Amino acid sequence: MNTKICFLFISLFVFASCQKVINVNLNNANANLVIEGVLYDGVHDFKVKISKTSSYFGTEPSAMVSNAQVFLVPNGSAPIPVPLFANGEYVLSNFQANTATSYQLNVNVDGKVYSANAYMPPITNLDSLTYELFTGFGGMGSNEKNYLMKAHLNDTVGTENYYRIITTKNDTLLNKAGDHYLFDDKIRDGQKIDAPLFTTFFKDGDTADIQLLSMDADVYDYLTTLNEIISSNANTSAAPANPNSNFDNGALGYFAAYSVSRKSIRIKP
Amino acid sequence: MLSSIYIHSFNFYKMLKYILQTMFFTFGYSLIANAHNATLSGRIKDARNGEDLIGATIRVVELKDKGTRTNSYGFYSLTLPKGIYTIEFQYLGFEKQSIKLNIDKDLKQDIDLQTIERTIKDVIVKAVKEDKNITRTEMGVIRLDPKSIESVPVLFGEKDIVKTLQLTPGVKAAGEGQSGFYVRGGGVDQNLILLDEAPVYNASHLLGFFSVFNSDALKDVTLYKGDIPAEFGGRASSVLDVKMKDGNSKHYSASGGIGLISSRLTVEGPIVKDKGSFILSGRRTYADLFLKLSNDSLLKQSKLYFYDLNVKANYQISKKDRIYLSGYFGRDVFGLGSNFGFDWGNKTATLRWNHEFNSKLFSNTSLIYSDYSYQIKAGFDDQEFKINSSIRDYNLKQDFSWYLNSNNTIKLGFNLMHHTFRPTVFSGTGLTTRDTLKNRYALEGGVYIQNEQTLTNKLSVKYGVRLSAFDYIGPGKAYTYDDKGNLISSKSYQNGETIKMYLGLEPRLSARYQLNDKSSIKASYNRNLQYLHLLSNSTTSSPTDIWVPSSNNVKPQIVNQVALGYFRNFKDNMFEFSIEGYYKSLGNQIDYKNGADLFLNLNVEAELEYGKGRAFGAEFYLHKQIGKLTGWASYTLSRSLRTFTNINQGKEFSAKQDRIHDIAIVGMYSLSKKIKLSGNWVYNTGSAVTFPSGSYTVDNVKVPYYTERNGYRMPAYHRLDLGVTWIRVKTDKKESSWNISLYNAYGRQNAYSISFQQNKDNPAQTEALQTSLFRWVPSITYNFKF
Repeated sequence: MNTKICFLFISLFVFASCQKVINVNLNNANANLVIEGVLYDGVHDFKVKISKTSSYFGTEPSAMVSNAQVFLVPNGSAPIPVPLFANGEYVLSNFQANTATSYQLNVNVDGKVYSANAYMPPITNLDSLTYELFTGFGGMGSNEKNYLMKAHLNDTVGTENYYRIITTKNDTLLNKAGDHYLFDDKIRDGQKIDAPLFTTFFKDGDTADIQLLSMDADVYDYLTTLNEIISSNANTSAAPANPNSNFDNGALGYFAAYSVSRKSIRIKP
Repeated sequence: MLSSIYIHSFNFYKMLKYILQTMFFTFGYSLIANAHNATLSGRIKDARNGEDLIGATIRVVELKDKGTRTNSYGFYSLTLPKGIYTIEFQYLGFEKQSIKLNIDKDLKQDIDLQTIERTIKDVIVKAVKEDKNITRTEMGVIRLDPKSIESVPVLFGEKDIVKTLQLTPGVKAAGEGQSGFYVRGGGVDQNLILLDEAPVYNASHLLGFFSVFNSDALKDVTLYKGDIPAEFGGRASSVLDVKMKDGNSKHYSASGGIGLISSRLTVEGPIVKDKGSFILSGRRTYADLFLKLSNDSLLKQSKLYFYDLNVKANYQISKKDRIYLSGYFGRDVFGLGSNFGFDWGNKTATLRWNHEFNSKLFSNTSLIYSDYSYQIKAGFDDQEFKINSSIRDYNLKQDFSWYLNSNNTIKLGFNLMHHTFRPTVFSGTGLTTRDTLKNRYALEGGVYIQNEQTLTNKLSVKYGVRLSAFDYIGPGKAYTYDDKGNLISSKSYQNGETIKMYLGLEPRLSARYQLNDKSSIKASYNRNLQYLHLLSNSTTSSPTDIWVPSSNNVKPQIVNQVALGYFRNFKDNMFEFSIEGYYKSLGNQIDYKNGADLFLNLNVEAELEYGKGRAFGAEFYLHKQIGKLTGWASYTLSRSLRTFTNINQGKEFSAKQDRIHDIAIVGMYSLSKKIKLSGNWVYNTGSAVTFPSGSYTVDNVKVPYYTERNGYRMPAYHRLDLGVTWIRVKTDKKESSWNISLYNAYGRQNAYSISFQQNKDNPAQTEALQTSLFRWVPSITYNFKF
């Protein structure tokens, strides 16, 4: 069913399982272009990062691409150039992005154009945050008090909605592989959704800052396929592949248009 | 729906009638011409317990090349020119019986064969040395007697026929300790697994570490890797035909075993002596009892076990009629704390009626039921949800064995099966879904005829054909998708209305040419169609894998296989040796789009990719069946490759099971009457695997960059297992023994998986981490019988 349950089974079984670090010889693939552009609703700096893939075990930073021409094209408007800000980073300052609008990102590198389309959906509001003492699974086997955060929202009926939750705990943005929290309304269309944030537990006195991001199907597909390869234990899931990018012409990475609703809360002892 | 079943069965009957007529016309002459012949027929049984002996040989001493074998029910029939003959009845491990018979009219002769006391000191004098390896018109077949493999050491001491099959050429384990298997480069889901004719859809327990087959309840195991008889159909790669014991018809007995993680108990006995018997066999694991010792409160409350129950009864209602009822029921139960429950399992039932029309025509009619289901329950606070899914079959099967004359044995019959696919259904408090998945239905059937014919005393052929049909029927909706998998249109169908129908012709041919007393060459061609497909997004077998029918989008899988073999026996049939080469083409193979969502997806057919494949290889096998030392050595050199337009940029890639070299050596040695030693060693090339060839950063996370599918290899796998059996008591009535085994005796750390992670001390550094399971796993089992 999924890797976690599978591993639970195995760990229950294994009298003598063990892990060790080994040497694996990996090939060095030809460098491929990686584009990452994230647009938020409202007035923000729109940032695009362009780089190249590097060797897998290498520790040197990725090569950045600074000779690209980057254009953001709001639906029905003229292309807006996104100027180079620093090494491989392109920034369009104080750009006003509107919800219920489609955007296109065009990147021209050495005469080859890579484009991606993203639709910024209307905002779904984060209604409230609640937390409760978590006792399930025997309180996770811990003696300390663990609080489970729940985000409450009302899904729009009749449309497909795709969500992502980003958590900031005590001013630290949780952005590791295991922190991805993605869900859709496939089984809860038009319902009040109470999303339990199992990605992290909170302790007495912690503050939680929660962002609810809405996105289109393609971006969701990118993030879920990305999540599969960064969180899975290599061999137990089906053959891994590169995430389904919304860029054409073989570029890696993605262009997202998020509409955001945000709330914070403090766990009172 | 009923009317549609009726129409379809009517068509099958029509077809069958036509075939029968043609056959009578063709062979009619020989029937008349042979009026001065007479037929000897009967059943061969084990004298100890009355079990039918399958595949026992009957040979006419005066006519060296004339002979036959018993069928699956111990029945044989042999037509000879009238005369007085010495007839030899023999079966491996049993004393040969010779009887002089005056066959001047049709004669019925039932035979009880006595077992050889194999542990008699020194040499086994009377042991039958069979030459079936070279004389049978079959190839690519592995037969196992569950008794003969009982001392082969296995993981957790749980003897398992599937794991023993994995030690034979052309059969590969799906992974460390797994009971799933690949046959000649095909997929795990391409094996038709039959338990007393009922298909078993998920043949494993506890995520594949155990097979559903409790060896105590089994009589005969045959795996067809190629040259698949025409009576079997429905899977592309192989048929694993498992037959349960009938039960002791002489006296009551009980046997069982107590092991570290499971125990077994079998009770059998006569219903009416020599007329009918029953067997009841159960098994339960209790590994989860150890969880109670854990300090972790979550583990303490967890459950993890399986049980299975085999039952069978048979009764001779008249001299010519016998009925059998057999059933299997097994379930895995998994619970995590009080919040999560998950259980799954198979149920099968078979009702059979054997009828001897006359000494030449034997009939078997079976009604078969098969069901696989799983259920997940979870609850937190006031919320609760449930996930259910199942596949259920009803099957009517009719088979005739027609022993036309001593040179022709004809098998013909048909079957008609109704499938119900219950897709994953999700229900719970406050849940609403935009689309509800509905049950899907299909009819699957086949008509076949096959003749095994002796042309000269050196050349024999087997030729047959199976006409199979698959009818995906309503009520239901058919969906049409564009190339990208977007839904274009859908159409509703009425109850019983055909949504999509497939017909397939599956020829099955083989020939044997005997070079001399010791060697023969054989060749075969067969074509197999598979109408059901297993959707699975994990590489190990998972209880939530779902079976789906062929439809307007999903085409039947087609496999064509040619094979050529050389068979030779040495030292008066003490050693059997064979080399078989095969080439297979695989059509309409299924893979998944990247990130395919197979769960609760109405448009699951849009998540599939279709492609083709090829598999080829050579299998070397040396087998010693008798003597103090028995066992075998097998080596397989093979490849298994796939091509999909949208995977690996359309370039051919290795299937996961593309392990080039595969070696297994199995040895069992009788040190004395009381002590038996056993050991096996395996080696294989690592599975093909996808590793990254670069990396980049997105969303602040290091992301692997993949350039090809299965372009890398896991490290080579090898392992030695050792076992010793100490027989304390062995008499006719009473037996008790201890078995101690050590799995992975030299503690090789075989890679179960390789994952990539950040170095703990230096997060900028990525390292490869290998996980291994099962080093030095000891086990001890006590077996008894009284």
